[in-house]
Amino acid sequence: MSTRIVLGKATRIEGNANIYIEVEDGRVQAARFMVPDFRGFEKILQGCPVEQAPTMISRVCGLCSAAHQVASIDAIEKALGFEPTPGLVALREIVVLGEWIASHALSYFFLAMPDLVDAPGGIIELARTHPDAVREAFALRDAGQRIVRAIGKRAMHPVSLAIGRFLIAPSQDDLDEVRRSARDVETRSRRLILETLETGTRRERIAPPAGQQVNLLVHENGSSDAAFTVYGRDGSALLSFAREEFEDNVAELRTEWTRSKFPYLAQLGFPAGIMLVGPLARTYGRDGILLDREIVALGVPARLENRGDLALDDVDFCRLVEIFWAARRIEKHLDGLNLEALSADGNLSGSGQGLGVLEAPRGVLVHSYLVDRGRVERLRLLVATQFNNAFINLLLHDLAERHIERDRVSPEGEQIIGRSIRIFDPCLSCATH
Amino acid sequence: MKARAIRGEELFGALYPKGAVVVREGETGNALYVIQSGAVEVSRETRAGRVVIALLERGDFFGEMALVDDELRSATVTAIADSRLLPITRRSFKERVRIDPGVALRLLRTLCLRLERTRILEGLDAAEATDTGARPRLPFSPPRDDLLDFSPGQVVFLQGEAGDSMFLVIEGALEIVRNEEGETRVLARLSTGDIVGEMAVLTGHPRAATVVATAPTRLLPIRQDEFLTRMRSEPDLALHLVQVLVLRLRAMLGGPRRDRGPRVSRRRWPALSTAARPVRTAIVSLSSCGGCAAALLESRSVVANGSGTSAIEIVYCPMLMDERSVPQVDLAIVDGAVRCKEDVERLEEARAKSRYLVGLGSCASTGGIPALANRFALEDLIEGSFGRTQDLFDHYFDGTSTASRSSTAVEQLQLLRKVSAIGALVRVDDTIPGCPPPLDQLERLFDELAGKPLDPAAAGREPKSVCSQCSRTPRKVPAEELRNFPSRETDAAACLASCGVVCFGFVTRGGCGATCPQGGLPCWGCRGATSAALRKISEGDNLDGLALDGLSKMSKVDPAKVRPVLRATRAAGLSALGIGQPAPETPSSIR
Repeated sequence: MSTRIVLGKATRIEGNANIYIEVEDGRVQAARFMVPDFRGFEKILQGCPVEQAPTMISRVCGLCSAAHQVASIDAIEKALGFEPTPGLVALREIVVLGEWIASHALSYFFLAMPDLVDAPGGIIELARTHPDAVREAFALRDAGQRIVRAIGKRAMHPVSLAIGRFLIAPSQDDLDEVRRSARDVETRSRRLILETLETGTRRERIAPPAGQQVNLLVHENGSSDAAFTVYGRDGSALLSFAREEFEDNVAELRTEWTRSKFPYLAQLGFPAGIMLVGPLARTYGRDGILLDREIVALGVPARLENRGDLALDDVDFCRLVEIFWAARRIEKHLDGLNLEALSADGNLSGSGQGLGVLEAPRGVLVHSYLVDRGRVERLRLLVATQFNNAFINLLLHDLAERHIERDRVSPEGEQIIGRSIRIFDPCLSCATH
Repeated sequence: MKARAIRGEELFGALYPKGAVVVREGETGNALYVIQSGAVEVSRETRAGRVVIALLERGDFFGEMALVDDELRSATVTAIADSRLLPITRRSFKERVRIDPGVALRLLRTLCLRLERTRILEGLDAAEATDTGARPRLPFSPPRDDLLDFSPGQVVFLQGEAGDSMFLVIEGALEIVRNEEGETRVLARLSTGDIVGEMAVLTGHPRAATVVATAPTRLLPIRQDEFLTRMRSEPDLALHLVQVLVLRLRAMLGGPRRDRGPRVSRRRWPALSTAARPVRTAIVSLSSCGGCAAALLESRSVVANGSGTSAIEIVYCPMLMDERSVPQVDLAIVDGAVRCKEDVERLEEARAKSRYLVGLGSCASTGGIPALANRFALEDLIEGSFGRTQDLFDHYFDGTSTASRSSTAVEQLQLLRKVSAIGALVRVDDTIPGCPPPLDQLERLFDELAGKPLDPAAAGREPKSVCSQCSRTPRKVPAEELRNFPSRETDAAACLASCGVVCFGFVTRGGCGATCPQGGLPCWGCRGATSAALRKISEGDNLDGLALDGLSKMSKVDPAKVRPVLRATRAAGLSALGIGQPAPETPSSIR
């Protein structure tokens, strides 16, 4: 006898996904995180003139549109021989970091926080029960959006970013606005971090899927010898490869029951080579954020030292820490910024191949373009939620098995499944594109 | 009845390769076709050339009039993918029903579903659609003991009841009435040969209206539990039921189109909220980038309700709360385009449960970027952006290589052949296009629904075009050429079109604040055409011509040089206006 349990829509995540669990004789036969949405950007953009590609590709995601634009510009510039000036690179990174702040604020307060204080009515309920937290949520999200808007001229789907230049270059006033906003974020997030460290949280823990190796993939943001590094769960580097070697190192698997693909490390195979990206990988795996002097001074690393299992609240906490880190990094970029040289030369009607990569709010974002005489010939996207997709599915399977009660999932099981999916802050528009 | 061998084709359908013409307009036909796989395009010859009126996919059917009478085909049907089609004639239908009565049930269900969709699209009331004026003659005179007799005034069933039977009218007359706010309204009259109450049996919905006899009436009840055995033993009855529904569908499609209201001028909203009760609102997302739903957070009315200061109450929004099903609401805000089967379900549910439905963003309003995929055949789109599926992963998770596929769940992932705006599937009360959509318009809508007095200066006065809000000033010097994107030399303060850049601001509906052109990006028309442009189009102009005229006038570039640039723009899908496409609201007339 086969019982099908469909838990239905996964809630408080970005985009549509269905949780599907099939049970037979008290055993989980299949547990799936099914994503129906699909738009086909990789085909839609075929033949598109490269100058317009970033504007189009932005529509993959309304929450990390700037990250998509910058990754796309990065890839096309690589393909066509543009060498962006340090000022151009820094301003683009500021836009992406501004988006980190806005997006993490959304995830931390609007999507995840209702779990911490048991408010199934979400932010709308919180507005009544925790008005101070909601005020803080809007303040942080607004500040992040102001940063993106000051440089990109619009917070969602920015308009001024372009290949080799800005369509309208930011003025000194715009930069002042960025600095003001970043300072505001720094002050607010420092206070929130201290409060969280002081009060502590419930520290719910779940074990990673049984027998599953954990590979944390990160990209060294902004450094000149850009490279991918894979860390193990203990934070030690397992493997690293250059930008050009990405497509040799990462393969993808597809199934008919979800539109989101499953990337894995080719040399480890599937499923041993599946990866985790995002705040979890960046803080646990990569030493950059936890080595920040201020973050050490706040006492953050001590709290995050246990890397043995997944402490759910720690992942949310990582987001908060990253908001703080992003604000500080923006200020650092502003300090050394040269507004004089903001354009680069290259051949817009040329041909070539380029890979663009950056750390988007939810993790590693890869855009790969093949350009033929100024038009997109082939496009391949690998987005953060895609990297996390296999892990989410395995975790769902594990949790379902643990919480099956006579051919149904227990209410606590449902709760922990929802919560565990949310720590990845999955964005399904991105994942399926 | 003489037994006849059923041919393989009648059992399993026949294969039609992509491009094959299945039926031709004007020819006589005697079969209905069920699409078992693939898809077809329905087109008609008009004075302006061949016009595609519908796309049909797996599970759909066409040529249904052939089950009533031999007909002259009213349209041409062409396979647009390799398709397997099952032809059903009146004779083979009856023979098949004897072997597999489920065929009758499936066909009747599909007919009900299509009637329902057409009804919603045409804005007809549920029971208005029942009265066709044409009924097939009764196939038999049943000397039966299970007939039910009703005298004038006697009720057959009541609105809201759960029903387990449908009824065939053997003789007499009935009225379908509905009780609305204390008033009884007659929706339709029925007589010999009609059926009534079929929805309850075929779809399981409660009775939508009350049915009363108006003359001495004799009915043949068909109970749900005996439906299949009855169809098997009485194929004539099965065919009759199908015929009644086919005629209703035909009457509905051929009937006068309801005026769906002007598309541009905003409708007036009655205030819904009172001091005691805020406007209950659901936010339903289809295939989208998630941006519209996130933009709603910027609207303080949405979240502020928690603090009791807003007249809007969000009761459903999967992104923000755990409520898993759409409750009955005053207002449904729908964002995203209709891309997959699940989108259709979500949209229809939103429509069924809401009093007003508003499309938010360009995807919902016009199909937006997702609709650019309509330039490709579905197979090419999937192959080119997703690739072929493999079973390895499936195997891994299921622990068995012969895993039962979760077929219904996978079914929902199925993509529609073409992306459409929500207006092609359900009645839409208003749209707020834009990518992202301007939120002040949403706030205004909330205010109207909440009965707040509107600023008379702002009410109903949307900026005419994007240009009217743009701070760039036209350049006097003629441009040398027209290009798609500003170059590094393009003046940062001058009107983009006057500098020879394809900018659609002048034909695009205003209200967005001209953020794009002021930020350096040419307008690509995400808000749809201006009312002036729509008026000209209704007078015979087309968007292509208007764009050509405007751009050559503003840039002072010769129209002959503008034309190829515009053509290339269109070919690359670079205008969300759908320049040169049929008007975005053109609905499929069948779906």
